[in-house]
Amino acid sequence: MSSKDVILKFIFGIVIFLFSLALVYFTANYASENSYLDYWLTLVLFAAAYLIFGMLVAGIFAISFGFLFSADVVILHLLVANFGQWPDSTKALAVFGILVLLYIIAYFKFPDTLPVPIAAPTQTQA
Amino acid sequence: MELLTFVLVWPFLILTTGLVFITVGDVFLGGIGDSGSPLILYLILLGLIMLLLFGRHKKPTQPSIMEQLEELKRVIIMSSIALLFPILTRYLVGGFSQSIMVIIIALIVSFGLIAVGMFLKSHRVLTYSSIFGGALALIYLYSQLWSLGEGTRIIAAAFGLTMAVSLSIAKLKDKLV
Repeated sequence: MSSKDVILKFIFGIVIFLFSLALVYFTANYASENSYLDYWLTLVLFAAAYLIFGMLVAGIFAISFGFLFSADVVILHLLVANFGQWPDSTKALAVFGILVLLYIIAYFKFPDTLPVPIAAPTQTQA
Repeated sequence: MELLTFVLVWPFLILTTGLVFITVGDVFLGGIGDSGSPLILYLILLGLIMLLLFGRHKKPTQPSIMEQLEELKRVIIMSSIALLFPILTRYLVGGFSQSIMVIIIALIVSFGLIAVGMFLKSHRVLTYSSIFGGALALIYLYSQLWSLGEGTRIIAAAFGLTMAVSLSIAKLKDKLV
């Protein structure tokens, strides 16, 4: 893959990220102003949709990363605005879920790399 | 599956980092977002993470971008586990209204986590994160036990001493030979 391809994918990823975020917040504002749907509920639905779509198109990195990072921003916004109001039991459940996932990822994806053994040189007699 | 894992790792790590900041702000500052959490705490946390990442180069040559990104992933996971575990105990203790039973279970789990970290081989990420996470949780739990009366303090101190001695015997005895 040439550096030009990488740059192009990066730019498209950013464009998709920005447009998808704009879509979420414009739709959420419109829905709440016209009383179609609650603002936070709209954000939750969009975050779930972006997450699922981002995973479905995992083969196209620009689209996948654009949607997944948008989902990240929306989920973090939801947490910043609402996390403090949750009861401690719900907070514990959320943190526990993330911890379990972290342990699974750490165990399977980040073991220590073993050094490659160096083969002993063989001597050939003339 | 490999492709899906590759694509999901970085968004998940960013989400985790954000969750760490949110929970730390919630626990230590009484809230986040509109409550006006000072930026300084987040900058200190970020500084610690960067120090962990860049302060321990053992290789004589400058690592490549891919190696640095791999190392960044490891540091994010290590620091996230180390910080989220004591926060989890804080929420559990708060959620059960400082119940002595929950505190005792959390103590046992914290010591267990430290033991797992000490005996785990070839897994630096889980070793360090388990030990630091367990230690921070223990500090918090002992601070909670302190307010529950002298009898509880004595039991807690005796339990801690027993665990420390047991772990030392199990882990360090071969170094005396």
